[in-house]
Amino acid sequence: MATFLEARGLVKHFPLGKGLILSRLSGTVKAVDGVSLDVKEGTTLGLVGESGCGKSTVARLMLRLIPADKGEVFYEGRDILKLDRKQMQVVRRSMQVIFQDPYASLNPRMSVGAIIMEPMIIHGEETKDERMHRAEELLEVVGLQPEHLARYPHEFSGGQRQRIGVARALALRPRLIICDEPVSALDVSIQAQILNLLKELQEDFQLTYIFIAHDLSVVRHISEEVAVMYLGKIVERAEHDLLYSSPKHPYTVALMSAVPLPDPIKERERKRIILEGDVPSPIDPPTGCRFHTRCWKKQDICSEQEPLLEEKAPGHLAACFFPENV
Amino acid sequence: METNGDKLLEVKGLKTYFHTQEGVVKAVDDVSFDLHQGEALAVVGESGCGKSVTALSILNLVPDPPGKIEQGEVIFEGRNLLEMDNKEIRQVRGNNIGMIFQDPMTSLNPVFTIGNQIKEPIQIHLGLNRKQAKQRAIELLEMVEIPQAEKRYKMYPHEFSGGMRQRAMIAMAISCEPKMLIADEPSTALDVTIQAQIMELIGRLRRERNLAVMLITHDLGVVAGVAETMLVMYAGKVVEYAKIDRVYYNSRHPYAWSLMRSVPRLDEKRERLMTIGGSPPSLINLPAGCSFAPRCPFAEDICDREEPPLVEVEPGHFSACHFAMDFEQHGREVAN
Repeated sequence: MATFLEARGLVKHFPLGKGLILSRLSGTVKAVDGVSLDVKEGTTLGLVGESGCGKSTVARLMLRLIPADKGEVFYEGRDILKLDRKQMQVVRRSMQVIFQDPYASLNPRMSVGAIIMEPMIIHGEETKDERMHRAEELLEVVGLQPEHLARYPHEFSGGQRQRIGVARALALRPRLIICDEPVSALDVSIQAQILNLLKELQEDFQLTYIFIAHDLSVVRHISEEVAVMYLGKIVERAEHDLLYSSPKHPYTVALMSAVPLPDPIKERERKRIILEGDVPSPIDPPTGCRFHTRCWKKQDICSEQEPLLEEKAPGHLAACFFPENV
Repeated sequence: METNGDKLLEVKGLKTYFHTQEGVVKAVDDVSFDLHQGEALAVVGESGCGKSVTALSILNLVPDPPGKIEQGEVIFEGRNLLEMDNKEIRQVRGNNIGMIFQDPMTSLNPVFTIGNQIKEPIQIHLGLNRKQAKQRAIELLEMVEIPQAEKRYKMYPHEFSGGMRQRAMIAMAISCEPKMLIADEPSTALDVTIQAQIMELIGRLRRERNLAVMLITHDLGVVAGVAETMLVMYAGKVVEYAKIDRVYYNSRHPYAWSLMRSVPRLDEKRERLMTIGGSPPSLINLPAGCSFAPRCPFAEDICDREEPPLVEVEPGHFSACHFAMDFEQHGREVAN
C-alpha cells in the first residue's frame, strides 16, 4: 500500500512570553521536536502518550491547522505545507477532525442540522435540499434519526453528541480523519459503540485515521500501527501486535504496565512498574534521552547523548540505548 | 457479606430524589450495602447511575433543594448519619469519613496555599494550634510522597501538577485519621502513569491504616486492581453486588455481564467490542419493570412488566435480574 500521509521532521516550538506590556521571550515550549510519521491509506495509526507529550500538536501540524516551524507533510505525494491558501482549501476538504469533548465541540446555539451542514456550506457544496438530504443520510450512518436535525446539542447524551461530531466530520466525504481522543469523555458502554462505529465507517468509506489517545487499550483495539510519544518525540513505533507483545522502549513498557486490566486475577498476579514523578516540563526537557529522569535502566550515556529512533527488530523502531525485549 | 473486619458502615434502603421542574429524578432508589473496616468497595456504573449521589447522601451533602433523602438509614459506627444535626455531621465529615473528588483543581481553593488548606481541617477537627497544624500538614504531604514537602506547603494549587494536587487532596482527606475514605473517581482526570501512582498510594494508605475505602469509578480496570467487593449500579438501583471475582468471572446480571465484554483490553485484541445498545434511561421516566430491559440482550416479556428484586444467587452474591438464578442457561436459550 502506498504511503498516504507522511510527515518528516516536524518541529513546533511555542514561544513563551513574559510580561504584559513589553513582553519578551522567556523560553519556548518544545511541543513537537522532530517527529516523522506515515500512515497508509485505509489504516489507522494510533498516537499514544500522556497529556502534554505533543500528540495533538502533531495532528494539528499534519493537518496544517497550525504552521510548523520545520518539517514537511506529504499528502498523496505533495508537501501540503507549501501549498497556497486556495490549494490548501481544496486539500482540507478531505481532512477532518473528531474532537474529544462532544460537549465543547458542538456549538450549543446551532441545531444539529446546521452543525452538520456548515462544512458543506463553507465548501460551497450542493443546494440546500441536497445538503438537507445529505445531513439526514449522515445522521442515519452514525446511528441517529433524521428527525434529530432540528434539535440542539443539549438534547443529546454524550454518546449521541459524539455521533453528531462524527457526522459532521463525514459531511465532506473526507479520506483522512484525525480522531483526537474521541472516546475518552464517554461512558464505558458508549465508548464501545463509538469505537465500533468508527471501525465500520472506516470499512465502508475506506477512511484513514490518525487516532490520538492516552488509553493504550483503546488504541490497541482500533489501530494497525502505533506510535508512542514522550515529550515531543516519538520513542517507539511498530505494528500493533509487535508493540503490544514486545515493547522495546522502557517508557512504553511502563505505560503498558500502568494500564489496569479489567481482570482481578491478572491484576493480582501482575508486577507493576510505577514510574516516579511527573513528566518533565517541555520548556526545559532533559538532555540526552528525554525519558532518562524517570527511567530505571538509565546509564551515563542516556543523559549525554540522544538515542535515535532506530530499528531494533524488523519493523520495530525505538529510541533507546538499552531497549527491552531484544 | 463475610469479611474479616467489623461492620463500619451500613446503608439501608437509601432513596435520594431530586425534585426538578421536569419531575422527580430518582437518583438513588433503594440502595443498601455494608462496608467493613479495611474493606475496599467499588461502586461501579456509568454517569448518572447514582453512584456519586450515593456517596454524597452518606455524608448528607446532597444539595437540598432540589435533592432530598427520602428514605433510608446510613449507620456509621452505630449512629444514623441522616438523623444528625449539622453540628454533629460536621464532626463526622473529614474527621471520621474523608472524601476525595475527581477533579482536584475544582476541589482546591485557588487563592489559598496548599498548606493552608491542609491545615484548616486539622485545626478544626483535631484542635491543634497553628504551629502544630503546620507540622502535621508537612508530615501529611510527606506521607503522600510529595517531594520537598516544606517548600510545597507554601505553594498554590496552580503550581502543582494534576497528580500532586490529587496527592494534596488525599493528604487533606486523611489528615484527621478517618476510618473511611470515599474516593469519587480519584484517578479519572489523570494520566495513566499518574493514575497508577495514585491508586498505589490509596492502596498503601488503606493497608497501613486499615482504612475502609469506597471507590466510585466507571473504570473496570481500576476496580480489578483495588477493590474486594463491588456494587454495580444502573439507573439509581443496585443491579449486582458481590466479591469482585464473582462479578468479573461469573456475573449474574446482563448489565454487568455486557459491560465486562464491552471494554477494550490491553491484553487482547478483539475484532468487535460487544456493545450495549442505546444509552442509560432518563431517571425521570424510568421504564416500568426492569430499567435495563430496553437495552438488555436477554430481555423477556416479564422484564418489561415487573421490576426484578435483588436476590441472593449464591452466598454473598446479589443480582437484580429475573433470570439471575439460571443466567447462563437463559443466555444460551436466547442465543439459540
